[in-house]
Amino acid sequence: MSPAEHSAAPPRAGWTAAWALARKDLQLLLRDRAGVFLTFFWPLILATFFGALGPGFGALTTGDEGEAGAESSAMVVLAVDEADSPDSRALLEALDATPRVRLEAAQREDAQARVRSGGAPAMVVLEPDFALAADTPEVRVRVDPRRRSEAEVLGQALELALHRARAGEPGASTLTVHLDWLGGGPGDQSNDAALTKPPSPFAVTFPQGIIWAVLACAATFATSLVQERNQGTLLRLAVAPLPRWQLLVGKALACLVAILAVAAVLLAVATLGFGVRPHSWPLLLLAVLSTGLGFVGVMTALAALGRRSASAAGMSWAILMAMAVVGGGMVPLFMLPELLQRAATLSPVAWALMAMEGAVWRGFGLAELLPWCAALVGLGLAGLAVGSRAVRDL
Amino acid sequence: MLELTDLRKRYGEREALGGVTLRLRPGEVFGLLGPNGAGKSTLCGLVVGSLTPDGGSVRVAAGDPREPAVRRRVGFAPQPLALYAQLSGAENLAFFAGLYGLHGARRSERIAAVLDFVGLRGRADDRVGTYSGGMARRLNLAVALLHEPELLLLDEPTVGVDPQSRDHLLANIESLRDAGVTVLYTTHYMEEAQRLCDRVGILDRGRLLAVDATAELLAAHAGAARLRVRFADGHAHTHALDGEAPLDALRTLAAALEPEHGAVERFAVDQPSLEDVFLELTGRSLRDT
Repeated sequence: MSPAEHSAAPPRAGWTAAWALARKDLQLLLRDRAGVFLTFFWPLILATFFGALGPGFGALTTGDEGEAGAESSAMVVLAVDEADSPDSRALLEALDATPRVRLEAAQREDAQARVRSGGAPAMVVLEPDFALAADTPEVRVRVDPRRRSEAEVLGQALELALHRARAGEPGASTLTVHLDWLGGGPGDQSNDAALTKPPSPFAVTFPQGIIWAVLACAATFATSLVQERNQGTLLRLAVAPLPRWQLLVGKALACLVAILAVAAVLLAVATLGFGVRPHSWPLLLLAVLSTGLGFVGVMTALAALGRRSASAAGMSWAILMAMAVVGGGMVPLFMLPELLQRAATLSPVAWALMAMEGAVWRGFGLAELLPWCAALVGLGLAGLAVGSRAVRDL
Repeated sequence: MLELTDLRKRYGEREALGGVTLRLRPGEVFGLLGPNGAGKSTLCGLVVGSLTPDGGSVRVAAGDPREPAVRRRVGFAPQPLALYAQLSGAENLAFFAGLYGLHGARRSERIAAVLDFVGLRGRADDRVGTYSGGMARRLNLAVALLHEPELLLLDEPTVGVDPQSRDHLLANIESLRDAGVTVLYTTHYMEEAQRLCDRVGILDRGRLLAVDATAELLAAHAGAARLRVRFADGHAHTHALDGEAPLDALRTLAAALEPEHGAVERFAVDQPSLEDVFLELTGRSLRDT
């Protein structure tokens, strides 16, 4: 090779190098049995296991609690009183008095939006013709399927409230509860028939499985610069004819490919094996891509900041696990104290879960999905910027 | 090809290089001889741009070694093995070839060429983790040669290898010298420096104590060859040859000492070595440091 050939960068050299880095990291991941298990099989096992547990997944304790305990663990249900009659008020007062439920008055559309976005577990609608004396008083309930165990509690609480509201008066012995899941307004069955059916438990657990896989990929790749340093290869990378930031681009590309591959596997199993039918495939693709980009950014920042630390692996896991716990990736958010539920809005895990659930079963439109995706992509870009700045000095 | 001017580097309070000035001519094999901790690896790190000097300058082919275009002209085999044990030899080479922008048929051709050069074609598909220390060292060299560098830096390339692999590596470097590649070769094995290098620099505690052709260094600092003679009664005598023919000196000694000590039992001529040069310059033995 002549000096002139040496000094001129070969065409596509940047992409060749970035792809070489990514391919090498993927080869190393595939040859690491523990890594493959953690990133591919463990999320699949968890999603399948918890999905197989059925609607009870994420149940609140059904233990007998005292009033004070019950108050603190009462679920907030949005009450839409369209009847606004003495009968409807009596039922809602009786319902609010039950220890497991705390009512919050709301308008139908607002309540619907909050249930769709996961802001409240359920809404109760008393339509204009509601009457306690009717043979079978009708109540419409709309429930977030992640909270279906609470919906069962709510059904029992409604029966109890009806009994108390009618105290001493004759009437029908049972209440007709029309249970809707997500989709159009309560009682508006025409909106999307599929969404008025409870989604498969696997529709809830597989997005969560993807989150676990994403976290495992991010944690695995976050330690790769330290591993390169320990095995001596970082020196060779550092003297290669590449800008330092390209080293991170290669690692980011590998992490993104791994995330997309594992998400594809999990979704294939969910759809082909467990009959999950996402509400919108294009929106799901957008959600998965945004999630991937967001956590690739987190990974690159962790990789660059922990590049010299022997404890980088532990630090990365600790940070990612904290995100998962706070964001509802480990324990459903409604089981966390209220303070942590508020803090969840700061966790990228919660953003990613909301985006994927929105595309799978919450019935989000593009406008509802975009803020979560934008937050994830913004996080990814910020992480890449932090990482590329830190990695200037390897 | 390589120009170092008053090059300085410190690690905290410790001075690793204290003002090294050196020029390598194109096509020469330059040996940097010094004990462990002398600053050889630091000097290599500064030349390849992985370290930043605290003072002075490094120019490779008149360019800054941190520029990608200059880095493409430099090959580096670091002292610690810089290889992925989980990948095969061929996969390692393919990866590093990609970093230098080699792809397609050109990449395959170069991989085959360097595998042949270091004698690892038969083990190319085996994982590096299964290689012996010597094979891994040869692959380390092969990686540095993939992109046909004009300047090759070999940092202690024979550390921890078996004699057979060492001989293979030294033969490889002789081939590179014949092909006109400029080589900076660091070692603390004086016999390697003597065998391979056109010129040698003696580095100790971050300072370059002497630079010259091996013969000149020996002449200037190692003194004359010595004739060692042992007589029948056990008496041993050492005589500096100072240009004398060894056999002439032996005859003279025998004539003078045989009447007292009996016949000459055995004799040997010790040629001066770089070890003697190091001893002369530092007051310490290279192997003792």
